[in-house]
Amino acid sequence: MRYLIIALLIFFMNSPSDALVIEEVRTYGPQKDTADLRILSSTDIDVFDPVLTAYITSFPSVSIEYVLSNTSDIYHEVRDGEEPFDLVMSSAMDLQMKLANDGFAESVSLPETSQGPDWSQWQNKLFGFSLEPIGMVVSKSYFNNIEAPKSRRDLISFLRANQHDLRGKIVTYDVRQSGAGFLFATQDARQSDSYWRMAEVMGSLTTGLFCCSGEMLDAVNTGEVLLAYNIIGSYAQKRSREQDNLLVIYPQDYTHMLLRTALVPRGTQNFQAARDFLIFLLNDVGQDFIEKRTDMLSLQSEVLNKNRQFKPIRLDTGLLVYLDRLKKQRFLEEWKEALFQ
Amino acid sequence: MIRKLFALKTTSIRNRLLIQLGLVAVVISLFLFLVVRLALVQAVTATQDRLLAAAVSSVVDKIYVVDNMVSLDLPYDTFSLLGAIGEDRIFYQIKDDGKFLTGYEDLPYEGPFGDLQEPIFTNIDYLDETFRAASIENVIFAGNQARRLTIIIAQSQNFQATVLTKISTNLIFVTFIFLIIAILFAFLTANLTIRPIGSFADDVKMRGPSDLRKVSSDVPSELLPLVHSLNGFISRFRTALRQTETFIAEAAHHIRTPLSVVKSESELALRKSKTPENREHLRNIIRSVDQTNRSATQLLDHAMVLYRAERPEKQKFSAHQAVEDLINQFRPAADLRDLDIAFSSTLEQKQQLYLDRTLLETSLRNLLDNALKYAIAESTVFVDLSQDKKQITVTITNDAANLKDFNASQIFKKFKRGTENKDIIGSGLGLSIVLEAANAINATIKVKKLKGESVCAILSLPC
Ligand SMILES: Nc1ncnc2c1ncn2[C@@H]1O[C@H](COP(=O)(O)OP(=O)(O)O)[C@@H](O)[C@H]1O
Ligand SMILES: [Mg+2]
Repeated sequence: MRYLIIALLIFFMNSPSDALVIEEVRTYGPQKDTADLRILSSTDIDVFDPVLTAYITSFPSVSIEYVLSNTSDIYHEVRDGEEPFDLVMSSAMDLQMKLANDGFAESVSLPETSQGPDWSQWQNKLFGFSLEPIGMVVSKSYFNNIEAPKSRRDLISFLRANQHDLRGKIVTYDVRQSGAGFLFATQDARQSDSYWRMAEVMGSLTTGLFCCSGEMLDAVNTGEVLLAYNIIGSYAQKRSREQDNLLVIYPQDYTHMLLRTALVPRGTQNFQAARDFLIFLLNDVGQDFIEKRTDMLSLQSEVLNKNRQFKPIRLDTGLLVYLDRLKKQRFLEEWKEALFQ
Repeated sequence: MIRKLFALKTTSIRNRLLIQLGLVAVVISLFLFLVVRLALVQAVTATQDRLLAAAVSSVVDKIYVVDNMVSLDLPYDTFSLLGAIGEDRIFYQIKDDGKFLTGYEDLPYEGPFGDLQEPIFTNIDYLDETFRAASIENVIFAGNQARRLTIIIAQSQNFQATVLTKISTNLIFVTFIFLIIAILFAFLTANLTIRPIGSFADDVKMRGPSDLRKVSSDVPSELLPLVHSLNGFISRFRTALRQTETFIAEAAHHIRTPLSVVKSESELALRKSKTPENREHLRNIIRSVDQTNRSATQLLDHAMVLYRAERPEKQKFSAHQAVEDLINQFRPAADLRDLDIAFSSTLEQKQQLYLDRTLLETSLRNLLDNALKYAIAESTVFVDLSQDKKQITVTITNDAANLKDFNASQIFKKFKRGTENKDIIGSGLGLSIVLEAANAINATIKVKKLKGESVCAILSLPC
């Protein structure tokens, strides 16, 4: 491996709460004091690594610093932070939308060949670059001779029917900690009334609440947990190749598709480098690469046409609604009421 | 460029008209464009306002009270819709009795506020953009206490801009088409307007050099003053011309009498004179007198032709008879130079002409005079009379010497003579008189050189 790895796992600082918590940093390309392109991202390095490697293979003189953090820290860093980043990628579409709406993103005009579908962009500030279905991951060994639930309705009755087996064996995101988890839960609540019923049932089974999908997947793999709800497909798919107890299920009533988005923050030091990278990411080469060489799907993915239940979460100002102070407060209260009984 | 335009402007009424009409068309197009665009902006703004009003009222619907606390369940679809058309940015602010409740606290709007039926719409400058905002105030009851809620929703104007650019592009296209049509009409109008001027000019241009009739006043009323002054000018000119002609005729007449006296006295003196020197002087005098007399006669002839041309006295007479009589008058003169005149005619005796006989005779006389003058001595002058369906032709042919400088296009001009025949008496007026007389009786005259050193004059008369 030509690149340098600086792994600073869980980097605690005794500064105020809005300080950026860096989970991992990796640099690509020639070593420079300040990298040409500083990316702040919530996408696991292992998932995104092929894209970065491909980019510096095409443009060997560019140095990239890839900083991994969580969506909520990323949001606060872009709003109030001091560190200059050139590109911000996050899976929390709502937070990204709020950044763009509130004027924290630069306008970037991209050539025709790098224009994604209309629904994948907002103004010329927010650019979706990959799609990922959100599903559930179950323990293969447990569901060896039991039929796994195919829809949320199935899931609810399955949970009700197997209360004894499943107590403490279900996990999902703690929406208070994870921005992506909050997005998935609010979209669920918006999509269907059965969400709250399911939340009640999960609460009654003392469902475990996690900050991050990695830990949930590990727990499922060991058999410690039987089912993880609302997991990003690309992670699960990738893990399932090494951890053979993982089975990914996309519910048939509906499966939300997460649109990962990128924006160029207002404080960028190298607008051109960010734009170049976006052009690469969004043109046919980059999109083809994402489709074939990563566990993410491209914007034009066939999967979207083949599976009618796959619904991309709409990238529009509706996303701002659950970030409203009162609405968020109300949602979290109801969520807590359902999950802590 | 501008100077060029002005140059055009001053040289032609048509261009001036064209430029003026074109300018008017451009101004109207521009005006049209601006008015329609203004109307469009108003329509689009009204649409946006209605959208915002709907958004405000759907937000108000979601306000509720728990434990004396005002709360709000912001409607997802409303926000989704507001941004749908133009990917617009949205900001909102809700205050409870002046206390900030939720939204964007720094939204710079303090009122006034409308109500649900009639929200107040304003433009707000916020961050780096201008937003369209709807604001209302609404009273709700929490417990037993009335609370005044103010709600502002502001939307950026991409939607407006998007719709406007789309429609404006079409509008520009339509305006352009309109402009082109208007300019085509301007061309048409300009051409139609100046057409009477053109035909008037043609009318004047087509006239012969001595046509001094009044110009027809069948022209647009704007041209009447011009026609009147032109006619006034023509009649003054005609009067002056008439006076000159009369003067010349009278002068010629007055000269002729003393001249004949001088001539007869000189002849008498010649007969009596003994010294050859004196005789030579006297002969010179007589020749000059002859020359002058001839010029005077021809000036008189000329004046007569011009006079009669205006009021010809038409009469019926036999063509054959008229020509034959004239030839007979010339026979003595021919004999003097040992010339023979051969007259041939394919015309019936009784073939009649109807025209001014004096004018015909004048022209024939001058032609015969030329033929006898320039014919080689002891040759024959041929006079032929013939006829076809349309005309009667008199052809006079004579052999002539010194035709090297014969120039058919020059000889009809006044006082233009052949250079080789200085010793033959002549004034250079003969053929111009012929031409004038022929024109007056609608005849044509041609004089051309034939092979073998002869000249032939052809006078064609309408019958
Ligand atoms: N029948 C003719 N034969 C030869 N030359 C002629 C004849 N008629 C006219 N011309 C030439 O045309 C010229 C102009 O003729 P005209 O106008 O009659 O003037 P003029 O006879 O007084 O010289 C003459 O000077 C002569 O050179
Ligand atoms: Mg003559």
